[in-house]
Amino acid sequence: MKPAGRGQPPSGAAAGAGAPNAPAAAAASPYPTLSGSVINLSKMREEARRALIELLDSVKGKKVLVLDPKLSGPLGQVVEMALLKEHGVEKIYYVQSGRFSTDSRTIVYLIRPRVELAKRIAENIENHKNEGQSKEYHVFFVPRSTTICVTLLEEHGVDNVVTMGEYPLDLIPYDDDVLSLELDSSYRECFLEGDRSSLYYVARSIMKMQASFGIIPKITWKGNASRLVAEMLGRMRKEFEHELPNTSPDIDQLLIIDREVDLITPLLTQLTYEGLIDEIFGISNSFVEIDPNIIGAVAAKKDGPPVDPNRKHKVPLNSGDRVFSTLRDLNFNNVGPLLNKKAREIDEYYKQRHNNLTPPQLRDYMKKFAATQQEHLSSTTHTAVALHIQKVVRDPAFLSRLEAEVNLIGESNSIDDYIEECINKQEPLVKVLRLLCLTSLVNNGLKVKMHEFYRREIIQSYGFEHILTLDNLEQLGLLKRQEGKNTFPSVRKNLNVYSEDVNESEPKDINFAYSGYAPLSIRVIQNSFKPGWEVRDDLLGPQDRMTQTLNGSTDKLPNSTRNNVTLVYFVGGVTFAEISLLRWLSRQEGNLYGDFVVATTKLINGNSFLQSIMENMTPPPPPVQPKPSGKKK
Amino acid sequence: MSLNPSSDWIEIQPGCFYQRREPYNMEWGAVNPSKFRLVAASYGGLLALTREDRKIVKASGAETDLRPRIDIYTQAGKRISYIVWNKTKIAGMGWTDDEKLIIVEATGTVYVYSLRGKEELQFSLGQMARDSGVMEAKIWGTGLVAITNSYDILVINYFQNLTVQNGKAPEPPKARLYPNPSLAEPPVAWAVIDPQYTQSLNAEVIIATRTTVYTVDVADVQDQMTGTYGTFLVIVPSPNGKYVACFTEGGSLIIFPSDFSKKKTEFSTEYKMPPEQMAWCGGDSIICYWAKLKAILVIRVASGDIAKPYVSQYEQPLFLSSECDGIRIITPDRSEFIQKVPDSNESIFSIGSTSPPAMLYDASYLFERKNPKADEMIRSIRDMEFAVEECLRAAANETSPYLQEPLLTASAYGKTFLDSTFDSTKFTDMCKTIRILNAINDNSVGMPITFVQYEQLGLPNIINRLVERHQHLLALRISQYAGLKQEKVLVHWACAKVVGSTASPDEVLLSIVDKLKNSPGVSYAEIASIAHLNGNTDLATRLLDYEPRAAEQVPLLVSMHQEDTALIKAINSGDTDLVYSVVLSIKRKCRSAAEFLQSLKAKPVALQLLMSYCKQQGDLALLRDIQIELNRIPEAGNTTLIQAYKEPELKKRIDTLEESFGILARNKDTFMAKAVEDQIKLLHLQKDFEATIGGEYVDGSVSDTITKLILAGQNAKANKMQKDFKVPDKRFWWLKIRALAATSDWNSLDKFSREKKPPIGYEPFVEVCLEFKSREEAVRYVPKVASPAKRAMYYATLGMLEEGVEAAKLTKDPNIFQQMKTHFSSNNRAKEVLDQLTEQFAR
Repeated sequence: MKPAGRGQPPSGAAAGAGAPNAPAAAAASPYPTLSGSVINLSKMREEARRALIELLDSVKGKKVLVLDPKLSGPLGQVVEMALLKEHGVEKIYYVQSGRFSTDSRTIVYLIRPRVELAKRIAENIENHKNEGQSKEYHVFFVPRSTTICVTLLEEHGVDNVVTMGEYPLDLIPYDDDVLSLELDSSYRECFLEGDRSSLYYVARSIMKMQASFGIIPKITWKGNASRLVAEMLGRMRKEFEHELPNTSPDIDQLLIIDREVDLITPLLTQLTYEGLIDEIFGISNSFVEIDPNIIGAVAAKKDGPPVDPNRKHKVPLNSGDRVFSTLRDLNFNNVGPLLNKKAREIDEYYKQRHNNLTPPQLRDYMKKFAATQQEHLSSTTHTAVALHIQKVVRDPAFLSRLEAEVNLIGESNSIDDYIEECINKQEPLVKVLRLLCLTSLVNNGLKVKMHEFYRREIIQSYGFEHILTLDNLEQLGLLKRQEGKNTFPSVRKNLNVYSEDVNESEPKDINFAYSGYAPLSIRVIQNSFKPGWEVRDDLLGPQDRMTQTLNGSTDKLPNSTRNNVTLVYFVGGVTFAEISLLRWLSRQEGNLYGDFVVATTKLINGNSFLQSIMENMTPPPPPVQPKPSGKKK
Repeated sequence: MSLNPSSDWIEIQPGCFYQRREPYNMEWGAVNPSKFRLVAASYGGLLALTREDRKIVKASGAETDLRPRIDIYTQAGKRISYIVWNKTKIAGMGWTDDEKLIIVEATGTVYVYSLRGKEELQFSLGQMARDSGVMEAKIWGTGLVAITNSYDILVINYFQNLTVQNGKAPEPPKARLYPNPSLAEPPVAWAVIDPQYTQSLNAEVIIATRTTVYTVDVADVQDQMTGTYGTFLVIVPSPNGKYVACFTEGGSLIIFPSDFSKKKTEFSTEYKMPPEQMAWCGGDSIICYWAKLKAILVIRVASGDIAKPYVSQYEQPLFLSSECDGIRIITPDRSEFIQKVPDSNESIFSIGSTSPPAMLYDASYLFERKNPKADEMIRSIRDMEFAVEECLRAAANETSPYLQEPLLTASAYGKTFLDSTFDSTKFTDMCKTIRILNAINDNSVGMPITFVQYEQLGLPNIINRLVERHQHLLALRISQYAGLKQEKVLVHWACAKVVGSTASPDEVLLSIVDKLKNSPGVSYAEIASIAHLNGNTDLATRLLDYEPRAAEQVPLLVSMHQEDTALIKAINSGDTDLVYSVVLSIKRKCRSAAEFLQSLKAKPVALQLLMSYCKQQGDLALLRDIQIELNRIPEAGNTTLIQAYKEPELKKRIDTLEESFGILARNKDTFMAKAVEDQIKLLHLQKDFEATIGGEYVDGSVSDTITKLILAGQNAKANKMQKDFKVPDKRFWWLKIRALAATSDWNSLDKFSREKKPPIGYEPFVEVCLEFKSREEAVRYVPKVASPAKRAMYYATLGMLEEGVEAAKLTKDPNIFQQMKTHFSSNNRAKEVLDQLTEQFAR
């Protein structure tokens, strides 16, 4: 995919209806190149792009594109603004309720099949109808249309003026080894609401991958939701047999693991560089928005357009940026020294030009010039970001939180005092809930008295409107009353989940990403590679393995010259730190694991994970009271 | 010399050769095309004939059925089917590209017939057409244009899908009204340019009046101001839509580009009467037919000047039908095809040609006869690859195997002189194509298409045409041979079997399953849907059992009123949307909510989805009914809570909360009920505060309310709140000191700190002072902080080195000095001191 031209907004569709995005501060390509991928992910992106263009071309003439706000980020990974323009898109808006005014005669809606959005579209059309405006409407559902949405449009009587279609965008490549469906409420829908649609989407996306990369010979799964996915895969194999290729597979194993197996990890604070960026700033669709007063000086380009001093800078975070790709997976404590080293190297390089270079040396110098400049820009940006992170992680508030987490996870010490203090200080609710859920998970629930106490404290401090949030957490088992035997200590022991012995600079184990804690999820994955792995239902959930026979001749063995490739599918979300640990595992000497490609329903952190479960009951504003005319004194 | 067809060529202009092929003798007996309205599908497609109302036909003794009919024949004159036309006047008739016969009735109703004469769909062109009636309609491969008696132009650019799919009848297309050129009388002549050749991709309608020509498209009407040329009596667009041939009242033939920008060429035919028929032969000549003359005129218009036209006599009446590369002429006993000799063939076969392919052809002829001159000839060929490819192409252009063979031999011979970079699949693919062409050109099939038409139409479409004609075996063989998917052919065959077979359902099922068992992609659902439409529900159900795809099974089961089975299959598939679709269709059928719930009771997955649906739809009342019906009391209570919080008015909100409390109180876990009760109490209190104190209290939390009361100086009320809501001391203290600090009420803060020993210690006092930017006040509380380490750090924060060091010493922890250092980053002396102390205590 061609990156957007210089000066273009970095992620086309992400520009949305609001102000166009600031140019990326680090000038590296805003999109991952996908050239370093072990399977051909650019083929997937190309396909998604082609389908989108085809869709736009199927609507003749000029048109406006009206987006589901939740789609703008993912679409930005697939296509850039300039290309949309080439295919007749004059303007992009977000779906709004009520009246939608536009001069364009043709409106193309692109939405996830959510009832709320379909309702808004119906409102838009009804409004136009009442105003006597005749327009052409096209609604494309991503990844597919649903009976509910279609029925809704029918019930509003607008289906006869709407042409409906589908845009089957599912897994989007976010990097050489990361794919995401970007379904934000998959965990909630699946485990809280009993709506397993997202599991179906997961299974479909795997089928699609098999259609392009061959039938995956081995499928290992862990967890109840994973079981459902695996079962669906079995059925779909029969349904889509004729669509599956008989080429030798590019992927050797599929490992499905669902978030229910390990709810602890996302609640803890990530300490890798990328993880901390996510915890502190929030990464959205592989970009992070940084306040200009943090990296202000960097982005002011001489020849660029004048930069709004208050506008946040969008920094792309992907392996296309060589500096970032060396830093992202490390424990944060290693980042500073490495950035210093990089700065010195760049400095050395620039100094060379003062030497009398021979023509071949000069050629060599010039060859590296562009790349070095790129690295220079990037390392300046990341130095600024790292300095800010350092300020945060040295703050006593951050340190006491980490201490609390370690106390809990390492030794199951009570952190009640700390949590209570957080509540009393009115710290953000999501932080309190992270710690509280963690306490409950580690201790197999809260003591009856504390259970009552915390729930009352939260409602009294943060408001009654959070009562259903508490109820949701209760139903999901994230927050509960102590019952039965606590199994966590034995899990901790058996899986060697915690160790005080952490070597942050030269790690020996996967416990460097969470100050001594080795994520359960990654331990489960490691175990699945061990001999003696067996079908069973242990404390973390059921597990099983199945083999798929390949179509056509069986003598087509996997290409032996490459590493084994495992596709790890985290159903319900994955954190950046977990991805970093999988990368670390496959980089180890005598690599047992081969290469990993990670797929997920959503890239998450503790905050976004809990936010997806929270229920907001904010009451609508009270009706406007008729005011008495004339002022009283 | 070698075999040469050039002796049969017609030189219609010096150096320009045409050829006439006579593929078939018509099998239709004595049908006289001039007595009928006749329409032919393009690409050697079918013919439809019906008696013209205007033409009088003598009823022959043999034909006793005098009801108007439409007969459908192949190009070889073999009748496939007929339609008894018992409707009113036909305003237009024509074939689509997939060989559906479209008939537009004067009433504005459009009928779509299969080539087997079965009516598949009918729809109306709309109120306008109904009101004034259709004067005339023209149909092309993908759409139609109708002009009403009040001269409104109605257009369907693209018929989307006209066939039954998955048991669902197709959506009838809707006609679009074009702008009106305001005609006062019927057009003299009119024509349509196929939308695929226009810029807007909408059909353009060309209308000739007495004085000018209008081009009408979806957006506007353009007057082309052609008055100076006289009235146009006949207008015919070229097959590629680029040009329009017009025959004027003065007897001239004028060719315009289709936008009428500039006359391309003009030729006077010297006949004042317009020809009965005028049609393009390919893109470069026009054929006019006058019955009186018993002859056609071939006028070549490709080159700028028109030389003498070529005249060919036809004793019998005839019918002209254009193709992209030639023209068909259908007479009572022959079907011929006239085309310009394709370039490849001309370059090989024209007399004395020395082009590389001609040399190769001759060399191959000599080589076959062991003539050593072959070698010499081969050596003189400069571009062998070109020669090989041209011979191949020429072979494909020929219809006779006697000519195909030597051309292929020549190509194969030349191929041996090429290096390995030549892609031999070109040769093998072409041989396959030629075999397919020969098979479908055969009299028994009657699809006389050229290679050029074959390429334009595409093999999948050809296979579609074959299956529609029930040539399943041939279609299957061709698919197999060409490596195309066979599922469609098999399904079509099975559907035909279901409809046409008189055997028992068991036998039909058996024979279908037997034939299809090795084709995994076959859609049994499609076959079942046909069985269902055909009234054979039993067979349909049994066929469906073979369908592996739930997404195909479920909708059909629903339309067969087998909702229970559908629901089970849908749930098992894991595809929630399928479950929804079944649930919603059950909902539509049930008369009451209770009946509806009853039918879902045993299906928790479906119920769960239904509840999720209610939530998404915002139909909370139904959701609550369901939850109560299912005895899910806590959930029903929660739903009521959500309802309460959708109420903008406080009173209603409180009422609904009371209701929720009523439901939740039935529950064992008392927490929720208690919380709701407290909230009701809180809202009442807050309402009172707003009335008595003023300000905004409603919807704040207990903590917010206490803070606001303190800020408003209402300490007594704040204290009472603490008691009433059992607010722990610690939180109360925090709230109070933050409120006091926020208002810089330092005196009250100080007083409060002395009231009793703070349950939260003195650190919070320091912190709130720092938070609200009062260093002096902060210093006041530091000495009271119990932990020396914390004291040390607070002093450091405040920049008080000595006091900090004193406190730090008490801890005996060297690390603390280092931590303190971060607060003295610009004070070198302090850093030195702290480093020394670190060392001292580390020992």
